[in-house]
Amino acid sequence: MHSFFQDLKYAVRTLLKRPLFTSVALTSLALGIAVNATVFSWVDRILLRPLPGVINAGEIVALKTVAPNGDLLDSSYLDFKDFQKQATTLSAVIAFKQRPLYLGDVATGERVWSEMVSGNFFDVLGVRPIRGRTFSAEEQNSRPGSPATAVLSETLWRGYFRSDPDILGRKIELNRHPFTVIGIVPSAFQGTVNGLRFDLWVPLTMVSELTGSFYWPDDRNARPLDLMARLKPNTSLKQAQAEVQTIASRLALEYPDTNRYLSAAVMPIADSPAGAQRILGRLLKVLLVIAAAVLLIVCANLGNLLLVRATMRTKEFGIRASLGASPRRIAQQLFTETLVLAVGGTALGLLASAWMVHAVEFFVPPTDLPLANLAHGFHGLDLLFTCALGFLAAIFCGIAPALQLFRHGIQEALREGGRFSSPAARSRILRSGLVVFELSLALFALIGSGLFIRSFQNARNAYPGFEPEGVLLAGIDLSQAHLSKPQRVTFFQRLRDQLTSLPGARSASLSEHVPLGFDNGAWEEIRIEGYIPKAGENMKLWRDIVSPGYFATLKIPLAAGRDFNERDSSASQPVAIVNETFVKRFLPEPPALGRKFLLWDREFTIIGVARDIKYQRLNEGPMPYFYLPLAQAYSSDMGIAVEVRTASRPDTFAEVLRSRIRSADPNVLISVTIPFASFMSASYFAQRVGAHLLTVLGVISLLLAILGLYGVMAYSTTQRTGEIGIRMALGAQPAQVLQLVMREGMGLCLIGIALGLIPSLVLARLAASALYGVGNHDGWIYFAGALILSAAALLATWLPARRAAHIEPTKALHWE
Amino acid sequence: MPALEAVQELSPKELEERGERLRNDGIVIRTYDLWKTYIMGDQEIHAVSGVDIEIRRGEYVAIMGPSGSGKSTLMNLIGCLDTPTKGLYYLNGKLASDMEDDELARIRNKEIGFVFQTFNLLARASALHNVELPLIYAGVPSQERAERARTALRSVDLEPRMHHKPNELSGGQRQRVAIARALVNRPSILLADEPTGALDTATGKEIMALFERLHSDGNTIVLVTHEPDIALYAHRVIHIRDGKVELDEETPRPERK
Ligand SMILES: Nc1ncnc2c1ncn2[C@@H]1O[C@H](COP(=O)(O)OP(=O)(O)O)[C@@H](O)[C@H]1O
Ligand SMILES: [Mg+2]
Repeated sequence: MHSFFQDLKYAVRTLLKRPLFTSVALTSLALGIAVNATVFSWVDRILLRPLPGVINAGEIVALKTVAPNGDLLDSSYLDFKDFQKQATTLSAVIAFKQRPLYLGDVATGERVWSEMVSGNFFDVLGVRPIRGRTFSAEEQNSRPGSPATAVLSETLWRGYFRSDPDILGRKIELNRHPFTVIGIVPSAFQGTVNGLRFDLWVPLTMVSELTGSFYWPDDRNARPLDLMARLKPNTSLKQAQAEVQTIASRLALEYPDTNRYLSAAVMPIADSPAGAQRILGRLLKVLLVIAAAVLLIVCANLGNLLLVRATMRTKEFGIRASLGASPRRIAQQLFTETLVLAVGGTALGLLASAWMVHAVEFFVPPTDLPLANLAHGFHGLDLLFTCALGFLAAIFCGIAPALQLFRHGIQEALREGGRFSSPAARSRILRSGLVVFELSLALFALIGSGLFIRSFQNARNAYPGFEPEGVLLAGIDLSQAHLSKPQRVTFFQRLRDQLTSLPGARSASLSEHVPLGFDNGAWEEIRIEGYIPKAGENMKLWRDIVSPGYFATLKIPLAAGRDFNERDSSASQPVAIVNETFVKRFLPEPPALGRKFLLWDREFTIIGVARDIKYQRLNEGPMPYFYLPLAQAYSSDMGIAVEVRTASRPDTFAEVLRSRIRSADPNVLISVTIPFASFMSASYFAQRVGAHLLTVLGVISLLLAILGLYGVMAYSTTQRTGEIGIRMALGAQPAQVLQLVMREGMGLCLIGIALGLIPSLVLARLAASALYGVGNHDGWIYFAGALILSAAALLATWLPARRAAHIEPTKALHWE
Repeated sequence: MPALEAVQELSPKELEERGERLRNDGIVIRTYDLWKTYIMGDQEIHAVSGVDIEIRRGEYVAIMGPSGSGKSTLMNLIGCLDTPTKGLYYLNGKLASDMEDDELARIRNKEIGFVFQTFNLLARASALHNVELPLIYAGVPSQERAERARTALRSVDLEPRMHHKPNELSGGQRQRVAIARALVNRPSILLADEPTGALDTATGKEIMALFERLHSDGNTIVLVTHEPDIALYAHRVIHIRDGKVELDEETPRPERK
């Protein structure tokens, strides 16, 4: 112990004596550790702790209804009740639905993202209130429309309510309906969707009061609910899976009208279809791998620096050895120095990473969703991970010089006066090996960024089947408007007319959903006249509800028939427009126009065929899809989007649009106005984040590896000065000397490239599902990566080579 | 010898004609008022100051002087390893003092064979490869290269050891490899800077005997030394002191060993 403190003191002193070396070492180590700590904190937050604030979150699983084609669907309230009652592998099931609510006045009110939840919600998740109480299962078993109680997040309480000490029992207005605050839950709990933050919870039984829709909890066919369950201790996912499947098939027998062909599945939250882990999971894993590569490059660089220093310090070691220090003792000393560096680097890295974690926010597309702060503070696990990394880095960096000492023994290291003696040659091989390692990792990182840049380009340039450029979107909410359903439909018509006649507007429309946002839209089960579904065929088809002019505004071409018009009203015959895949799949015998399908006990006649577009994701396959007219299919709990194609840049039109909507009805709330192109960037969010972050890591790797190569080449030419002098005396031209050095450097680079290609190919495999449209024809990415690396390596070797070529032979020959 | 001004004012054409004349007269080395000045801080060190020497083909000349007198500096200038601060230097009729780096490298390769006190062999290369080096830079094809290198090694009696690395050879053997390397390109002059400095007396004598033989084979040899008895092997001794030629004399024949 005493000797350790002695070493420590000595190490600090030695490091302070070499400020340049020490600062270079510390900065690069801090950079490597910061990058890793940052990526890991994202991984930790998004993949390892998808449900912050939840007790024993590992036991929580998502419970989904499964369509015959394997699609994962939401569930009905009655199914939820049955699962809750019957499942023995699950200690409990919870149900919830997300929705923005308006808190307070329309004028001054705040739009708060909320969850309508089953009574057992907080108990099952193990979320304890910091004030008051949460809901109870019993109070919700009463009747619809009660209790009108609300639980607030700590954030909302501290912010909107200014930490009101008398908040409990206070009456608040939600969507114009009075609620009583009964409790506050800690801000660590953010709700049930990974990556989103909810601030308010109300009982599910209040759904009609809050949304104005019918009381769907009574309807087994209405499936708007997300379910989660807590596994009983010592129960495996497999057992639970088997059981929910059994229950689902029992329900299918018991309620064939609503549940035939439906199954159920449980899955870890990390695999559930909603949440940030779905969008970012694969990318995060790739980032983690590349970040590790960055750290390894840093370590190899540092290892080389330390190796060179150890070589230069042989004299010092000799003196210490002659004073009785064993090689082990000296290696220990060396290692202590490395450890001091590692501790410093880790501390600095942690500081830097506290700042770097915010990088991901920079790429978040504009959205009205309540995105959670992914740059959360450091969690215990992150800290542990980072410290472990720092320690491993120290071992890795210290190993080369220590190895050299042990391998050759200190005596030999001492004798190593001549510059061509074999220990020097061996340490040279070690140095070269480390640089080759760095270069191969840099290529790996470069190719990683190349793949994601390509994917981002592909995604951004992909034609989604319509033209998002030049379209402005707005979200409107009519829950505060005192309008009956027919009045709302009239309002839509009037609004559309007014918007269309605005100067600067080419066309305008309204719809329930818009393609390529963060959410998938809605589906309906239909029966198509003259089409007999195969056993178990999924007839639940995605759909949208749109006003006339929707296809013109988005420039979705109609392949046949006509668009909806003002005469398609609730009084006239129900009509529909289907896409081409719908026709191909269900109506192969022409004509498609005039054919009918059954939905909601009504018969819809197909009057138009629209070309396919991308509805949910840019890389989705073709899917049957249909549209219904707003005037015929609107229901009061729908959110409505407004689309306007503008003559000038859409964002310049936002204010006009807002004021026009407000003047049409001041009680209609506008949630967002956003150009379609920006809105759509949600569909390639991961590509965007990936391309940018991996480019940063790629450039860092390249710079570090090239710096490493430069260092090794510079050192090696210094070591070879004598040899170069001899060659010059014998008539080597400056150009030949240049070549000699360049050949060595580029040789290392080529080996590095060869070794780096292999893991890069593996990386492409690993990343495949996170990439968009990157395939075999993109081999040039590998080539480009190798080219960039070679070009940089050329520069890194050219500088020392040029210096070598201009060595004065007389000086070189005196080099003894 | 012409006055300084007269030489400096020559036109390029006249300089060339002068070189032509020197070569026709069989003069391999001719310097006119050669200077080499080092700046050390605010101090000027004239390592070579105004040297005029002339060496003919086939001569065996020693440059002698005490340590620090400027022998090595002069040797570097003559060997085209360095360029003079001032003055003219003709090597084989060509004005070396005017040459660029590339040309100097070519001259070193073709016209000069170096023998150094510390041998200056490439440690990781075999004797054969060391001898081949000048041929590589001369662009000789590999077949002929190996052949000529072997011949050169044979002429210093080292052919059997040609695959040995320098650290497997004795000091005398290393110097002989260096001499073979100096000769392999058939240079106009052989420049040796303290060639026996790192050797024991007996081995030094062997090496001097080898030089003697090389001289009688027709080589021009310039030997730099600070030891008078080594200088006596040469036929002419140029005494240097403080960068200047102090005395230029024939060695008395009978005293030669
Ligand atoms: N590169 C140099 N820079 C500065 N001074 C030098 C340099 N080379 C030689 N000198 C100086 O020039 C003088 C002559 O040196 P040198 O030619 O090596 O003498 P010698 O070979 O006769 O011992 C000495 O005073 C030496 O210190
Ligand atoms: Mg000398």
